[in-house]
Amino acid sequence: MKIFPTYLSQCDHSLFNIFKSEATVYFHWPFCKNICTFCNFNKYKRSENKLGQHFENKMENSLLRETQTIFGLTGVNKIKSIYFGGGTPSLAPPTTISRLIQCVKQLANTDEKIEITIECNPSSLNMTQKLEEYFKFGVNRVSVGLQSLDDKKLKILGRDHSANDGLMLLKQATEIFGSDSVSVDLLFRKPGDTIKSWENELIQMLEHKPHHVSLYELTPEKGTRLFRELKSGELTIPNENDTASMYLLAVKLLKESSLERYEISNFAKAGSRAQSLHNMSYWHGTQYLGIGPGAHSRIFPLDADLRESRIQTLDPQSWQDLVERDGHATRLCKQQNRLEVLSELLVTSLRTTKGTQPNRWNLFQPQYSMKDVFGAAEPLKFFYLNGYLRWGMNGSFQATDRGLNVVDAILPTVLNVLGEYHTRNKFSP
Amino acid sequence: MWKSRSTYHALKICSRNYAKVVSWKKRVFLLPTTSCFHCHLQHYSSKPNSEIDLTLFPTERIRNFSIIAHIDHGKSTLADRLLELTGTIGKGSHEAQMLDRLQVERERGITVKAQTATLVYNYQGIDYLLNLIDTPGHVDFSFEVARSLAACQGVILLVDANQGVQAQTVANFFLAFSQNLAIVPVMNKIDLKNANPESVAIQMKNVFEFESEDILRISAKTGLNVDSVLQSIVERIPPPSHCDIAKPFRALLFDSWYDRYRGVIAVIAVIDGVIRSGDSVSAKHTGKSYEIKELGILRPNEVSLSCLQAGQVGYVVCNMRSSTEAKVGDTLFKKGLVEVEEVASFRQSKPMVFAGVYPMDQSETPALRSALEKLTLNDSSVTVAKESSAALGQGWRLGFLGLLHMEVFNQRLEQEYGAEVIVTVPSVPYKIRLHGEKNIKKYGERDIIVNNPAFFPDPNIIEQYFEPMVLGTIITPDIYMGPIMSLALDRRGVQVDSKNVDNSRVMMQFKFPLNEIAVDFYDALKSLSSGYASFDYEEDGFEASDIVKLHIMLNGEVVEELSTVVHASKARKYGKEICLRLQETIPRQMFQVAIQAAVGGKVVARENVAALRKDVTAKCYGGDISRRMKLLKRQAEGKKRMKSIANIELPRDTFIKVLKR
Repeated sequence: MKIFPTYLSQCDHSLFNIFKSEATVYFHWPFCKNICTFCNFNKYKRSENKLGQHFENKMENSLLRETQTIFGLTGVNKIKSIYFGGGTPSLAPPTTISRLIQCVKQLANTDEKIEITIECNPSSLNMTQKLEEYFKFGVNRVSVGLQSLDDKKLKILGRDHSANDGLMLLKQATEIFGSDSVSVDLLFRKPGDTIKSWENELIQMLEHKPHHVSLYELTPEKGTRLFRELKSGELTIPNENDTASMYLLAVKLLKESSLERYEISNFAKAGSRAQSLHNMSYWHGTQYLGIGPGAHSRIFPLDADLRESRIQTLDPQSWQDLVERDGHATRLCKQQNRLEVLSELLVTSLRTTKGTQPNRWNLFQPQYSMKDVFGAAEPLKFFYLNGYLRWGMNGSFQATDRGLNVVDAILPTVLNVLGEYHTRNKFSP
Repeated sequence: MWKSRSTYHALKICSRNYAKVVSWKKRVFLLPTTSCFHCHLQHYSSKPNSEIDLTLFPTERIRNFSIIAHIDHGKSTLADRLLELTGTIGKGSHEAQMLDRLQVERERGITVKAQTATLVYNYQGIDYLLNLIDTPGHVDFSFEVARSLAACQGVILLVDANQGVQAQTVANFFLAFSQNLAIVPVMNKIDLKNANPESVAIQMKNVFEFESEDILRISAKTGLNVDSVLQSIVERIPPPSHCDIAKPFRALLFDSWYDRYRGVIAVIAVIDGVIRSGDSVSAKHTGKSYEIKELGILRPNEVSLSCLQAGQVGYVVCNMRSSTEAKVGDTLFKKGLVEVEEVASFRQSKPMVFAGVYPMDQSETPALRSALEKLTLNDSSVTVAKESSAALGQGWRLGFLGLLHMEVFNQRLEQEYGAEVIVTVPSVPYKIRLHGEKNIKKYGERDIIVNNPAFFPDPNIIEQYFEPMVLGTIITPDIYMGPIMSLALDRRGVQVDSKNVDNSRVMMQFKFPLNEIAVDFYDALKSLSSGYASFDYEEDGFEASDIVKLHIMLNGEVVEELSTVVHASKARKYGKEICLRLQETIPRQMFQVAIQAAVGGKVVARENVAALRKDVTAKCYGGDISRRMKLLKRQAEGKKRMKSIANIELPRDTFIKVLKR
């Protein structure tokens, strides 16, 4: 790898070094009791409590070992958030969660405000007890996989819980963690959804006054059972037009309950502290260390100025074996050039209401400001003039409310403007 | 290309019949010495090639003939059988019909490129030289048929004993009839279970006035009565007339193909004199002179000989570099002669259907160019002009003799090129009469022919439009008459004639604008008659017509690439069609897109594409954004290639879907 001296000299060294020392951590627990028909994440079916003591111990040890190794590759000394995702992390032994948190705390500084989130599935056993244990170990945020409030639809999706199970979990979590620390996941464009049925689900969900809601559009992915069922015509999902209506309706209804959209899929109570810090870090280009089978990372290796993208080995058994052998199980590691890093920053941050922050941009690209690149770009004129893109007070580059609704139609043009500017002005890599 | 394919084919035959593979040039398999071939030859008492001495055949013992038939009536099978019976080729030596050399021809069972073969037939103890001049099976190639017939004194009119007289049979008959050729009526496939020879004989009587007893009844497939065909050729077709071996050399050039090693191989019918290797000849039309390098007869592959003389048909190789030099219909004569009489009045082939061809991807332009060059070497009747479309990029505008010609050529092009080619909706040439001295001077003439709607002059300087017409013949079971009449009227057809072919079938003739049958007429006809109706057409000059330019507009801005010309009565229909196609293919934009079709400022059709309300995947990505990045990058790449009209981003695909056939 070549480091261009100009790049270093033009960086604000102290700021960049602080930036490189901060990160978030993601742990992946790849096992589920039951496979949802739409899921294309890295997950494996294992009956609850059937992993076996031995296997669970091995998983825990491997996760701990990989955490240590990956931390050692970087200069990270401050962790801003930890996230347990999956799979179904609430199926992992709570002691494992506890030990992983302890491990991170030993490897880096964490301040009191650190956000530690775990995804909880309503079907996991003894959730009340588990939630209390999590709280005790330092977990301070829970994401509840409600998905739907219609039992029939939950069944079609292969979920193994009822709507009531989900609402119970939501209630318990809120009692233990507080409103600002509980998030609800809901899916739209489910098989059989109509605009009306979706509206009813939203209204019912809002009755429970959540402070954070994630709305995800069911996206048929190749290789999933749902994809095959849709292809064979067994099931149908709403068309694009109705899907658009569902999304826009949700944005409106949530806003009426003062749940503000702060990212395409994420809504938080106005004035609360319910926004997910962990996800915000992703979207705005902070380093993240992904630990566990199939986890993704974006990290700056020790003393390097180019970022790496990493993907860990997918299959849990192979992952364990590799961790045992090498200390980590990175399957794919690529250096990202400046254009790639900037592209990713734009693509994720323009999905948030805050937009792309100039201070982040300047860390990655000190030679040219965002204004230089995008301010007068001819292909973007249409978007500025018609209120799809704008510049925020602090100089951030933002998609407006109407811009967010169609941001996928804007991003390709933004990327092309960036690419052309890059070609013309020869960014260093 | 097809030449090399036939060489491959020849080698395949060689290796089957003979142990050693021999030089393709000598075609040893045509000079059989092995026993089995010999037995077979003796059985039919014909002469093997090696013994042919053309000087033994005075004009009286030469017959030049063609077989004309509707597609699938068995022309190629009969030709093969004649070749076998006379020992020209081995019996059943290969499965494919010998004279259909092009792959497309074999696939579609039609003959496109005329092939010629010389047969020796012993009739009542005397050897006759029979020159079978193979013609294309469809009148689309009427120009090719006509030039083949110019070298003949007679034809075999072949009719399927099951299907009966078809539209092409009629067109072919009149072509031969108008050239005063002797016509030998032959009914084929009488061995088939469904054959109805009596009814077909009545049809042939009704339509062509043949007497039943004059009609030969054969089965080319089984060989039944085929010998009677050979006898009738000798008996009923006159030998070439106006031939004089004593006069200086003169010949009609009636076909040619391109061989990558030897250049153009021209097929000629010698009228006067004798020609030998080394002789110098001139071409009347081009004025160029050549030295004969090689000559001989076709059996059906080239067999090199020392001379050809009056009345005979054969090939010459004389350093012609491209097939455009070998003008079909041209007269070749002994160099130095003055005031040579032309054998046939020369007529340049004129394309009647035009279509643009473009590569799917612009990077493939050189590959498409080379494929086009190769194919046009062999088919000089296709005209090629460079064309550039803002929407489709660099391409070519090809002119074809007719619809089937276009289809066959395009199929050959795709095979040669090995990839899909974008072929635009075909158009026809329009004749435009200008007014105003200045304009006439500018265009050089008062009446101009415009082959591409994009090049139409300003309507203000146009006095009158003329469009090409055809005389279409449809033969159909009478139960389909009603729907066919409606179809014809819908296509602006005017009925010219109608008569019963037999008890249940009618022949209808309509005058159609060529433009109306250029796209899907044949398919429509076939589908509404369950495949029973047959159709053929011949050109019928230009007629004054009410032509208008149809503009396509997106949010008020004219899209030049999509504008076209149509008959005034069709503007609304085509306008609607194009608008609908665009509505389906234009991606949703941030705003509503109004698609309009207009004639002279008046909107005749309109569709809308609703504005995009949401275009974002509300999906959970976590840290895994690599797939999403990939997708966005691909979209970004696609956007770069889009064309922006009135701020509307149009992918190339939109243009392809609208412009493509």
